[in-house]
Amino acid sequence: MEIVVLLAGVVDPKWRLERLALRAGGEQPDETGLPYRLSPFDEAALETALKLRDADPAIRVTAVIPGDAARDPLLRAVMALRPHRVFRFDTAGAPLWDPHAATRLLAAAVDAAAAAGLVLMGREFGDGDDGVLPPLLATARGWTFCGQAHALALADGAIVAHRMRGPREEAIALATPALVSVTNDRSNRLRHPLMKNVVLTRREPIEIVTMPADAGPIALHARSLAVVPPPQRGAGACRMLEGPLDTQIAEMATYLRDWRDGASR
Amino acid sequence: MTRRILALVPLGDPAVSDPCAAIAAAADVAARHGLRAGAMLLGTASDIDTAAAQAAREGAVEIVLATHRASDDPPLVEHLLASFAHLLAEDEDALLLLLPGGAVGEELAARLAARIYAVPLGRCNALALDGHTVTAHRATYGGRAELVVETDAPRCIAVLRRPMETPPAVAAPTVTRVELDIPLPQDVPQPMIQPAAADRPRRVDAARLVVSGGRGMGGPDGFAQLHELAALLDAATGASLPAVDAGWASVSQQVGQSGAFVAPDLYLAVAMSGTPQHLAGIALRSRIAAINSDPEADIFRVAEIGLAAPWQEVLPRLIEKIRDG
Amino acid sequence: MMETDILVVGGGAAGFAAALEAAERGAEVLMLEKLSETGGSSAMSGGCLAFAGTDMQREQGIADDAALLARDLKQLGGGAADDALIAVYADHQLETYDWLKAHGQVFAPGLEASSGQSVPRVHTVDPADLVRLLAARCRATGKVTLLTNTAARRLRRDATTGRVTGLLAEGPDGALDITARRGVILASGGFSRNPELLAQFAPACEHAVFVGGEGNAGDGLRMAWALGADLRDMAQIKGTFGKHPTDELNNHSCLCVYKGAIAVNQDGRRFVDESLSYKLLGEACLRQPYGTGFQILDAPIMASGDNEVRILDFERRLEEGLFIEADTLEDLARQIEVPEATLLKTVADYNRFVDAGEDPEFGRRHMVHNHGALRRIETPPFYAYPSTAAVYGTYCGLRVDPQMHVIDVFGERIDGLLAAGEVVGGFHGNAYMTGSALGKALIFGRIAARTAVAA
Repeated sequence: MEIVVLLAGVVDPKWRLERLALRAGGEQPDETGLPYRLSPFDEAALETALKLRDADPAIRVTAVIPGDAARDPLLRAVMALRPHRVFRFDTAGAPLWDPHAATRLLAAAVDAAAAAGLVLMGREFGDGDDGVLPPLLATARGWTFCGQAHALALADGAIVAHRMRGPREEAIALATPALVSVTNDRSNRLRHPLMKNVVLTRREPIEIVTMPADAGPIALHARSLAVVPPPQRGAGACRMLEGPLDTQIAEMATYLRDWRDGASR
Repeated sequence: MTRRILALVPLGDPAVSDPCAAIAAAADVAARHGLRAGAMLLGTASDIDTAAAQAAREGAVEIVLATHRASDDPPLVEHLLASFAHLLAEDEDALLLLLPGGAVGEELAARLAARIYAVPLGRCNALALDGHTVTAHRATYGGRAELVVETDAPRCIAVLRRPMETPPAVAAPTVTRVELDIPLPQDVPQPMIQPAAADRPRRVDAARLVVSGGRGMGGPDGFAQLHELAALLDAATGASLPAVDAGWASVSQQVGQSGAFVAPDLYLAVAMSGTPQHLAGIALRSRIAAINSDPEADIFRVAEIGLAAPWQEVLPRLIEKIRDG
Repeated sequence: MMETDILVVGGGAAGFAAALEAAERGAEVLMLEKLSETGGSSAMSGGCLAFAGTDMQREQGIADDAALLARDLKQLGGGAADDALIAVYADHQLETYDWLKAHGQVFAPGLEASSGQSVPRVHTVDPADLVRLLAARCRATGKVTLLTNTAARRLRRDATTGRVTGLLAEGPDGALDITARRGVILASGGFSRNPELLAQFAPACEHAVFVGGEGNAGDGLRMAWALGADLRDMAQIKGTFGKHPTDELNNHSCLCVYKGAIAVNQDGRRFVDESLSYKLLGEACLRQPYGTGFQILDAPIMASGDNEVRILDFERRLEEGLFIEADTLEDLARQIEVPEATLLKTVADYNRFVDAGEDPEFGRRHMVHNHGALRRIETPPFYAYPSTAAVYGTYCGLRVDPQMHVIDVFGERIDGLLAAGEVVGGFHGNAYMTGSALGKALIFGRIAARTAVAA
């Protein structure tokens, strides 16, 4: 079976965003100089694919990262984990804000990879998506969809997805082709590459596939993008407890009990 | 052409913690534009009437109550999808459709967008209408940046949280009842639902009090103490993404930009630095109390009460104090 | 124009120890930190302090004293280390331990033997908490002013006497001209974040991982160098073995070898006597293919780790997914892409050496330095910890006398200029004892302060 993992990458979450804006006269975000890394969800999707490959040697894994050359370091990091194939789907900087347009592009990226039996994505695809793209892509292509799985297992040749949905735990045997969005979990934390493979990968060429020229109509337009300060709360006046630790703990206990008993203000 | 604002409310799935939040959100957007909010409820004969009354209380002026004889318990997303798509298929008005937040509402919004060709706006912080144009404000870059998008598309679909202020109740809404008998897709894989484990943590997104641990907990032992404290306070236990990543808490407990959005009265943050990504998952109206060994931790900048000491020294004594009265 | 008694450059352990000592002796202190946050490399360190003759050691029945500590330091330094500085460390370490305790510092209960130590003398603290504690004590004196986001640029000298009278700095509001009546203490750290200086002084470490406070660019070193300061130990920069080569979360080495693991290279062969100082292990590791090896261990060695000591907290790293685990050595070899037969033979040979009490290949006799009997590697599950060498600190730099005056290339004091911590050279020599860098920061920092106060 062919597994295609679509990986988005995000601006390093530890990086302090000073300024962020759309490029002048366009809808493309100006991310110049910002480092990318895989999001926890990207990593979960990739590790899930690698685990399936480890479990069944007949499984082939292709990892695809859409984007421009700024994502190449990310590509090398993925190459060092030795999926069967890794390529960048060159989007020539096309913005992905419009989910329908983004979905057409991702569908073309999957088609460029393989006749996939299983497509894996993180539960959110990159910095601009909050979970729309995986279900939209699956539905647009008529694939089975399973959202926010935390583990996939092989059982009698079928793929079973495990997920938490509110209060219940579900196990779903997937009809293929299927698209599964993966959420981060202890069990799917991304493995580390061997240094040997990191070194060897540095010398390998990067494969680039060019996207089709016509991306189709755009119905949703970005008007502005700006860094926002975290919302104000607590009025900036935290009452720090003082005195001996036991006194502080007693005060905190009273405070919590009052809230439990609904009497606090 | 006036755009109708319509909340889509899937009933009967406990995974949707607050389905009628979409109605309050729709009423709020409508009121700000001098419009009337509608609500389309999809449920069973047993739950639809209670929900109808709530829909009026949440501010819906036009209410559609749809039921399907053959729905599963809990309903499959594919079946909800087929029913909503059917109900909206003949509707020629320009629509702004709103769904409740959470995994089910968000999946439904995206898949419905593909089925009825609506523009999905995702999880929005604010929505505004101006003539044909819908403007949406969305959090991006892990909550660090705001994106403003616009569309003139006749159908838009968004997920919007419950507004800060509950809109006024509607005394006499118009109510239409629809009995659906469309064939539901049969080739849908049926999930095997596993019985909830006895020690399953309480749901974090519906709790009045949340006790939450971060990376500073350092391991599962600390979380065992958090559970103990939470039990005494009748609270749910939450966790930050690094703590979930480390395996000290389950995915369903994850609070933050990429996890659950919680709106408790009080949020107790233990050994947590207070990153914007985490705070984005806590409602602005929730009060925060914090315990952290670092008096300079960012969490104290947003808390209303703080205790600067290592959790190892605080939790055992705090548990004892609360237990003993 | 600002004026103070003592000006301290750098807000790490050495800087805060100097500032606190000076303030407690009545001096007014101005402290500059280039970054927005204090802590530097100290806060990122393993939190190990090498002390000898402490009450903790006595309570645990460990016989240790200043003389044994000095002997270990000399043995490690291999003649390159300055005996006078070793004596300063040995003579003042116990009072610094007591001083820390008196200021409320809490030590983890366990003591460990680590690199270069004949007996367990690693006293462990949370390093970030240590710096925060010292900073809080400085604040409490009311005599220490801290300027963050303020970088020292050039030392200022009196044109006639040559004495260092202050320096020029740059803060958020522009240039600052600061006069220090009693002296300037350079506690600005090393230069592990300065690629040009590294290429110049440590070409052999090209493939090592560089860790260290992001401000460690050699600012103090270059300012003193410009005044003719002499340099020591520059040829001794080495990487420390045991750093996971691709993990970015843990800034610390993990030394399973000191609990009985072996080190193998990508070919599956041992390459060194694993009981040596981790700097010598690092040097050997960087000569292996890809500059990387693996520490190979079994279940009992995994269980013998100590979660209170960062370099020995094996199980935490196992939980973090950094170890590669397998039920057989064959499977382990496959996962780390090492030839199976070679790894099997390496482990079998090593186990034979353990039984025979003699390692003809590399002469290993102990787990670490002169401590601990070797053990067989035989009980599954087996583990591999990918390991390379990391330069955590440059451990070389300005030549100082026992009072911490900076000495110039002609052997003369540069009046008014003192140094402490990682910017100082000459103390470590060839190799390095766990806990002596953070220990040196505190001990030398306090001595520099006393010298300046007395000036």
